Amino acid sequence: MTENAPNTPKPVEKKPPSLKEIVEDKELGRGFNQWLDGKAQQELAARLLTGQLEKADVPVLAEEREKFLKQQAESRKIKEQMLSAAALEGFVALSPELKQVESLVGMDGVRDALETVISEKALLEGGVHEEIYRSFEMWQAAVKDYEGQQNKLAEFLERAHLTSEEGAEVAGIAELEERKQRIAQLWEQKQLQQTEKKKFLWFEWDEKTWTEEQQALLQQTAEDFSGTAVKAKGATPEWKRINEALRGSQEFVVRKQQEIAEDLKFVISEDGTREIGRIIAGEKKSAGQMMSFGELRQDMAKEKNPDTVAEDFFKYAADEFADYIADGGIALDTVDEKDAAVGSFFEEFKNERVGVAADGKGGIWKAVYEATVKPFFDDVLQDLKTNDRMKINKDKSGKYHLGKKTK
Amino acid sequence: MTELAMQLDKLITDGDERAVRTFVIEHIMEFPKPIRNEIIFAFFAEAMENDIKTKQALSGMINDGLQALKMAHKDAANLQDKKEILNVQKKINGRL
Repeated sequence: MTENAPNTPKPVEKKPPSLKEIVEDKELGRGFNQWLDGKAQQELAARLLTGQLEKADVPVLAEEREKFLKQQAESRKIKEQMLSAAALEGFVALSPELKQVESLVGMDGVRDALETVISEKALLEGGVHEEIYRSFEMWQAAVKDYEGQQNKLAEFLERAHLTSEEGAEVAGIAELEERKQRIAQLWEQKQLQQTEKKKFLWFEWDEKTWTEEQQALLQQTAEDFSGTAVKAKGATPEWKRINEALRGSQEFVVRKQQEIAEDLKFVISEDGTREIGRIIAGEKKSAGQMMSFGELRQDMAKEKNPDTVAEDFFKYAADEFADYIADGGIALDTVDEKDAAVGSFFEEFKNERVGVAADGKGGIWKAVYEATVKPFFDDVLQDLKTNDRMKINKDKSGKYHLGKKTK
Repeated sequence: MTELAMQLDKLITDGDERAVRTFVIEHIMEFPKPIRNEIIFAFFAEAMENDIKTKQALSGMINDGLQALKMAHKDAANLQDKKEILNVQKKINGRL
């Protein structure tokens, strides 16, 4: 009866919760979709269905979630590096096939394809994408190691004064004795080159290309010169002695003097005005068109208004001098007593144009200027102040005028 | 099976990898996008693997070369020292 009782209700079969119900569960389902991939979701559902998952598992799940999120952040970082423009372009350049693909779909197309595959792999295969990330980490380590070895090699070659080609050549020689001979031969050649280099060191004038060694030598030269220059009084005999002293030991200054002497000329233009100009050494000069400093001074004396001529002369000279300093040159012209007036002009300008130009060129030229040119002009100024043949007047407009004192 | 798949299948069966590569690249735009993406990914992974091997090999070569250079450098320096010593001895002997 009991068995067949029509009114006996059938036991209600407990329906397993759906994934939707799990997801919507306030405790279990919080953020469920955000941190578990498809495979893990299925596993979780299976455990729930078979009663293996209790609410006590929630803290464990939370821990897993944290771990997952951390891994995800790391993976994202690696992915960004791997698909960065620089890395991607590098890999494309390495593969003829990728290069062809890139020509069809562009770099963005390649990146999109890779991102799609990686994200799909992550979703469908539960972390297979990690394989490519690990490969990328291995690649990064290989690059780092390779660069480290290259740096070590470069350091060694530099210490041994060998070029990379010579290093490769020597390293490639199998026989030790032969290697030793080749290295000895290379060093011998290099010592010879060093000697030659020193010989011509001061004939290279492009400061930008100077080595530290060259700059140090110039610094030393400036210091050596400093002691002598201070003794100069600005008059011809002293200055000549300095030149004599320099000629033997400081070839570069002499060379520069010669350069300037050949290079700086006054050009008389067609309308009769004078302009200071540079001519290329060895260029043919038309008689009467070019005037040296000395020639101009002589010409000045014939002028009706020598003060105006002198002012022009000083202005041009100061401009040129400032340019020379700014260009990295030193204007060490041989001057006589009459040239002392030029010095006075520079003295007035030294904290302005010339000084600024020298400062602006960096420490080395400033040092040269301080050690050579400045003491000379300081002395010239002193000389000018103490002799009573020349005078410099400054008018109300601030212009300078040169005049001769009448005894 | 599409014509494309049949052609590819034949090349794979023939076992000519170069021909397969050429075919895949020449027809890449004809493949469905998911397959095309997988192909690009495969070449990318291959390029990376190859470069890892290359870099590792080069590092090893540089390291070997550096060791060889260091040995040669040391020996050459020793030779130079010996040469200097002989020169000094020669000078001393000359004065005695």
